[in-house]
This record gives sequence, C-alpha cells and structure tokens, in this order.
Amino acid sequence: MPLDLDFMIRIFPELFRALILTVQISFLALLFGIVLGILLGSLRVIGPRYIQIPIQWLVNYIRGTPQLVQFLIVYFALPRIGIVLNEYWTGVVALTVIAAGYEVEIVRAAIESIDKGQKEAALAVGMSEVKALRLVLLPQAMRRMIPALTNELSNVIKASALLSVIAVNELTKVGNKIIYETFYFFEVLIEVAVLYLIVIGVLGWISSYFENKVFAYGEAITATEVR
Amino acid sequence: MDLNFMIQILPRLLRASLTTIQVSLLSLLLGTLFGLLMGMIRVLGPRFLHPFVNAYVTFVRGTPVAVQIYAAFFLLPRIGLNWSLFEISVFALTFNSVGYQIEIIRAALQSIDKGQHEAAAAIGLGKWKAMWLITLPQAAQRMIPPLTNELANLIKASSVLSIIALYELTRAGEAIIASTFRYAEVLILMSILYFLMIQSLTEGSNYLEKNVFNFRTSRIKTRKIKQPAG
Amino acid sequence: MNMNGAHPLLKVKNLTKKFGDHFAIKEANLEVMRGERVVLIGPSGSGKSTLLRCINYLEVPTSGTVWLDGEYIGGRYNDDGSWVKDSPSQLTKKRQHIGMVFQSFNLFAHLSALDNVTLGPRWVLNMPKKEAVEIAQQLLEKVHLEEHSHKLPAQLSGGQQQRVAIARALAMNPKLMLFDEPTSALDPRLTNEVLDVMLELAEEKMTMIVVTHEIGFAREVADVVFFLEEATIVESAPPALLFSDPKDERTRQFLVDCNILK
Ligand SMILES: Nc1ncnc2c1ncn2[C@@H]1O[C@H](COP(=O)(O)OP(=O)(O)OP(=O)(O)O)[C@@H](O)[C@H]1O
Ligand SMILES: [Mg+2]
Repeated sequence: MPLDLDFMIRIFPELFRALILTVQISFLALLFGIVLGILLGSLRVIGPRYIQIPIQWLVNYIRGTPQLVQFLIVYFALPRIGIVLNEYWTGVVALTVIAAGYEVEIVRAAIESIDKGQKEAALAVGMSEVKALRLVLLPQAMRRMIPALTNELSNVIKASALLSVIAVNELTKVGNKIIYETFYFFEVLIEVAVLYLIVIGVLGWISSYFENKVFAYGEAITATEVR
Repeated sequence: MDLNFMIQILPRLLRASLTTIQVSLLSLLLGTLFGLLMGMIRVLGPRFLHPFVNAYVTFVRGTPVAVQIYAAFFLLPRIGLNWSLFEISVFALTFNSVGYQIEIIRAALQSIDKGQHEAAAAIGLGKWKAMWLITLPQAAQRMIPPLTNELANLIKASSVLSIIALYELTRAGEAIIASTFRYAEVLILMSILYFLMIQSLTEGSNYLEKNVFNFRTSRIKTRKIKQPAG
Repeated sequence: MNMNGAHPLLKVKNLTKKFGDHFAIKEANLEVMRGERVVLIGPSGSGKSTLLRCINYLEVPTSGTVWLDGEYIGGRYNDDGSWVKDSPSQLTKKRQHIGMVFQSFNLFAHLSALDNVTLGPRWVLNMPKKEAVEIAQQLLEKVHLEEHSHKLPAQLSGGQQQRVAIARALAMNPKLMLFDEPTSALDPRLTNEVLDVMLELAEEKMTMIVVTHEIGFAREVADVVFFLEEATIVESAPPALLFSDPKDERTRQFLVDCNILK
C-alpha cells in the first residue's frame, strides 16, 4: 500500500493544530490536576478521617472506572448544575477530573515517602501539622513528584483522545473527520499515531531523564502508566 | 432518582456487561499468549529480534488506545479480513494488551533468582527447557497481580470500543441515555457495574495467587556466614 | 594421591578468568584422577568459586582449557589445531556429566524434593517417569530424606534442602561432583547432616572437588588439598602434610589465621 505523501503533507497543518490543542488541553488539565491533587492529597494525608475516606473513595472511583464514563458524567452533569462551558473547557474539566484522581495518589505517595523524622522535627520546633506539611514536607515531596507528573502528562494526553466523543476537536477527532471526508485512512492513522508517539516519546524521555539523572536513585516515586 | 427505571434498564446493561467481560477476558488470555511469546523472545530470543519487540511496545504505549481501535476498525477490513465488530474489538484490545503484558512477563521472568538458572544449567537443561520447566512456572505466580491489574485496565479500556459501536456496557449506556435522556440513573448504574466487575475479578485473582500458585509456604531457615571455620 | 595406573578424569590447563581488568583466577592448573577427592581452600575472594564455576562453564574462562574424560568442555580442537566453540546445546550436553552443589542450594522452588531430583533424568536423559522416580527415591533414601520427598523446598530445613540438591546432582549420574561451600549457609548441626552425606559419597569413590572451610572434612576425606590466594593456586598437598607443614609462607599465614597452625 503506497503512501500518498503529498496528501500527508497537505493535512499536516490541520493535524498539527489539533495536536497543539490536545497538548494545550492536557497541559491545562495537568496543572489544575496538580492544584487539586496537592489539596486533596494533603487532606488525604493529614485531614480528619471523615475527609480522608471520601477522598479515597473518589480516587478509587476515578481509577476504578473507565475514563469514558467519567467524561460522560462531566459532560452531562456540568450543565445540570448550571455550569455551561464550551467544548474546550468541558474537555479541560473532564481531563482535570481524571488527572486529579491519579495525582492525589502521586502526592500522597510522595509525602509519605519523606522520612518520618522530618515531620517530627517540624512538630518539635512548634509547627502545626498544616505548617509542617506546607513548609517542610511538601517542598521536599514536590521534587520527588516531578518524574511521575511528567509521566502523568502523557497519560492525560492519551486520555484526551477520548474527548473526541464529547466533540472536542483534538487530534483523534480531527484525524477521524479527515478519514470520513477523504477515506485516506492509512495515511491519516499513521500521521496521527506518529504525532502522538513523538509527543509521548519526548515526555517519556524527559520523565526518565528526571528519574535517572536529576534525582538520586530511589528518591523519585514511581509513575503508573494508564492507557 | 427513578429506581423503577433503573431496574427496568438493568437487564440491558447486564447483557452488555457480559460483552465487556468477554472482550476483556479474551483479550487478556490472547494477550498473555502473545505476550509470553514476545516476552520470551525479549529475554532469550535472538538479539536481532529485540528491536522489533521494543518498537512494538513503544508504539502501543505511545499512542492512545482509541487510535489503536480506530486503526483496527479501518485497516482489518482493508486487508481482506471480514471480521465481526466483536472480533475486531478483541483484536484491538489484544494488540494493545500485548504491549503492556510483554513488560509484565519480561519483568517476572527476569525476577527469578539467578541461582535457579545456574542449577538448571548444571543438570544439563538447555535454556528453552529451563525456561519452560523452571523459570516460567515460578514466574507465573509473580505475574498474577500485575495481570489482574491488566485485566482491570482492559475492562476500563474496553469502554473505548464504544467508539466503533461495539455494544458493550458503555455503548449500551450511551444508547439508553440518547433515547431517554435519563443520564444520572444510567451513569450511576454503569459505574456500579464496572466497579463490581473489576472488584470481583480482583478478588478472584487474589484467591488464585494465594491458593493455587503458592509454593512459598514458609521461610527457609538458614544462616548467612562466609567465615573460615577454625 | 596419584594412584598407580590411575587415569586423569579432569585436566584444567592454564585456566584464567578475568572480570574486566581484574583476575578472578589466573593460570590455574589442576589434574584430578578418577575417584580422587580434592578440596579447595583459601580466603574469601581468592577465586575458589570462579575456578569451580569455570570447570562446568557456568563462567566462561577468559583463556585456558577444561578437559573431562576425553573431551574438552566448552569447545573442541579441529584437526588443524584450531579451537571451535561449543554450541549452547553441545555445552548443555557436556555439563550433564558434571554435578554441581551450590552454597545457596538453588532447589527449584516450585517443585517437591522428588520432582527436583527427577527433573534432570526425565527432561535431560529422557528417562520414563517410573524409572526416574525409582532412581530418585533411591537417592533420597541415600541422603536420608525418603520421608520428605513430597515436600516443597520452602518446607525443608537448609540441611535437608542441601541434601536434596546433592541427590538432584547425583541423579544425572555424573562423572564429577563440584561442591561450592555446600555447608556455609548452615548452622553446625545441619552442617554435619550434609557433611555425613558427602563423606558417604567420598567413601564410594565419587570423584569430587569441594570448596569448603570445614578443615575437619578436608582432613578426613581429601586426597589432595589446594590452597588458593589472590587468584592463584599457591600450593597443593595431601591434607596431613599441608595442614601441618605448608611449604609456602602465605599458606602458613592463612592456616595460622584460621587457628589451624600455631
Ligand atoms: N560475576 C563477577 N563479576 C565481577 N567480579 C567477580 C564476579 N565473580 C567473582 N568476581 C571476583 O572474582 C574474585 C574471586 O571471586 P570468587 O567468588 O571466585 O572467590 P571465592 O574464593 O569463591 O570467595 P568466597 O570464599 O567469598 O566465596 C573476587 O575478587 C570477586 O570479587
Ligand atoms: Mg565462593
């Protein structure tokens, strides 16, 4: 099956724009996810039990059910509670939910990986538990999260492909649209796959660079890979 | 919340869940078969084959499962395979799963103590026989937890098959929502069903690991010394 | 002890093994007669294990040859004198004739004692199951474990595991047995169980090379004791001689350090 290279070049700008959108949405979701993740992750560690438990339920729910189902929930529930967003921001919110579910665990693992003596020393100089977390534990934990968070960005990018079902014009959706318009599916699929591979490959490379070069062995917490 | 409505749609969703389980389990099993093959190549096979296995793993892990599913959907008929939607789905998920299982299997195979290989070599077992008789049975136990996790991932990933209209749980739910607009009830039921499927499979595999594949019943009583005795 | 008319079973010639730039064993020469019992002693890191492991090519020597009963291990010489390496399957075949017992036992963790012993005969020698089981039961009896044959390694004590490992090696009917510190992971009581079995083997004139720190065993059993230090064989002599009047100062120092000599 010879590839029509001219065609591939012709559709490149459109796919590239979609890729940028994909990365944008994913990156925003990662950032919001980090904020939520640190907040919920901290509460998960030092909060009262009646807060810890629902947070863990939420995390289990997000990690234990398909992302598509969560997208549908966001897609239907947001307008219902009076939040009307365009597709772009609906996509960001949906991905944020997913990212946060994983990042809570990253944050928790990172905080719990800090030596117990650190916390005790902070409490011993008279800090409150919240202060100890904010001034002593989190700054140290942040370092250890970086490789896992980089990896999480590629998870989010892969998840963003599912936003096609709620009409966000990200890479998979645009690729699909071109296929139905032109029936050049081989060329389109290859080009789409290669674009994803490049972005995720680069992120993977950065992640392992952080893990191996920047951090001492065993310091960084490990990342989980999601489809 | 309308309980009557939920009870009314439950049979439909349950039937679709069955498809979800079928696709996921089949993909897991086929994935293990090919994963073992490629994992063993990666560990023992000729070196020139390693880059192919690695490229495969990179491709699967570096692209969204949705893209892989679309690719199977468009390309399989094109190369003359007139497969049903179900077969295409199993193919796509298997293709995806193998990419993850290779790593699981490779890690389990390589985690077996070097002494076991040396003992096998010392009684004259060739490397493939040693793999089959010694390494693989021992690695099997260590593969169960990650493979359980893999099955959970496959069940979750199978929802993406709704994009090519396979009538599994997510597709069924979407269809009911589209015709009734009662998304709350449907989404809650879907969530519960997914959760139950994953939980029960996890329990099942814990049982398997503890009761069927357990050959480490007690710790060995030894002493580690390396001093010349007087 | 060079028995009159005895034939060498094993000839190790100029055997050298390097790890990177580091010599683990250097130009070792060693001849073992049929039925001879050899003990290797020496301080930690002197290359005893390496020498043993090179003999059955678990470690491929950097240079030198190992000859066992008419053929070279790891390769052969062509008519024109050139060296041809063994294929993996040829090497595997030659290894069958050399039994090995490890410091850490290395029993197959997923198999019962009996299955550990029958595995080699069944899958390497292609013996029918019934016959293999018979032989294995005899061997387990010989190492006094007939009652434990159904147990998994994790259910056996260290001494019992090591005796199963000896039975496993014997099941291949080897020409030569190698023991690499078979008792140093065991406490004294368990050590004696294992040494007793090895003694019985020695009495049956099994050809064996034993790395051990059990000087008592060496005294009682060995025909020759080799002393190694810093990757070289320093000297060899019958135990009575070596332990009382070593020729080399390094040997003497080692024996003094071990409280064997004053
Ligand atoms: N796989 C290896 N890689 C690198 N160096 C090695 C390896 N195996 C052994 N060595 C080195 O070779 C030297 C000899 O090791 P060997 O294990 O043969 O000593 P040994 O006499 O058996 O000591 P011990 O009484 O502690 O068992 C040591 O310096 C050791 O560090
Ligand atoms: Mg040693």
